[in-house]
Amino acid sequence: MGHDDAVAVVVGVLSKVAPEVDPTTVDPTADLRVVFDLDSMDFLSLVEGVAAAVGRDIPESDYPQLQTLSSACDYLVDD
Amino acid sequence: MGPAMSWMADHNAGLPVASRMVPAAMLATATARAAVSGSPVNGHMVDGSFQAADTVQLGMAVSLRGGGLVAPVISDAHRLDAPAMMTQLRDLVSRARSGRLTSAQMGDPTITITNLGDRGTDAVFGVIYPPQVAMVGFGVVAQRPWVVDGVVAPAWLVTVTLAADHRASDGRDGATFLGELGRLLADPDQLATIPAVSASGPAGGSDIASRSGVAAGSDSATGSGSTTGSGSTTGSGSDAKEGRHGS
Repeated sequence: MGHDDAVAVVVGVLSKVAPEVDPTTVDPTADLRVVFDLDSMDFLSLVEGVAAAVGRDIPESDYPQLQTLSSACDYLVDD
Repeated sequence: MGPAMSWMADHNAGLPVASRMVPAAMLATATARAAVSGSPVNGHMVDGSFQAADTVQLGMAVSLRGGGLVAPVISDAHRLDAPAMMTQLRDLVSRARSGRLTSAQMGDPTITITNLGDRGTDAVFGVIYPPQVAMVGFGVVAQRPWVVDGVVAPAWLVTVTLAADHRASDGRDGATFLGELGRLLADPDQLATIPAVSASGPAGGSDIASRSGVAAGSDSATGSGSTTGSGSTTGSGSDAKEGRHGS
């Protein structure tokens, strides 16, 4: 998956979990839980949505990589 | 609450995301079990006297996107194991946010949890929502330095507060409740098991007529790390008691 696709996946899921925030206005290095006002249930929904969209498991130990839009995209981009 | 966190990590390791748990489920399970164990924190004030409940209808303060708060109910929460509590919590939060709570979820809680720790708050001093007599507040679950056997080591800690109505309970009751809550969090295998049905409880309970579960947004939170044992008054006739549960 390329960088633009990764952004599209994360932004797409965020727009469902937190529909009142415009993801395109968000600082890519900001903590998603703060900017999108995510509690632990919302964060789980984010992980669930991203895992489903990219078709692979995201283990709990990788949750910190989904802290910001930027780190999440780095995590999802194929290396 | 190291044992609870370790148990949860092991539990989650083999599961798809949709089935994984968050710490709030462990906290809610322990609260429900502690609330039914006999401390006079579970029930209602009715015409000036405390009516203990023999089941736990657990209120959960849920913030709504765009502002506002509801406190819907997990029915008979004392009979749930931790994974079942997680299922109920997910359903409750998604239904609360989409305005689709069931009539049972709109029922009357016998005790309520506020879990602002989920948003990073260190400690919460909740305000009781009458006719309930207690509000349990959970701060953030985080690793902090803790002394074990004379050595400082990282430990998973959470600051738990109890706002309790002095007409129903006194400080010792609150301490007993918080002590039991801490003991349960240190014994996750017990939380993961459905408890034996007690002899006292015919199913359903005798709950009072239904009332809207919508609560005024009056929760107060302190952002600072607070010290164990300090008491502060939260609203008329109530005390706040605090316990910090380590290891």
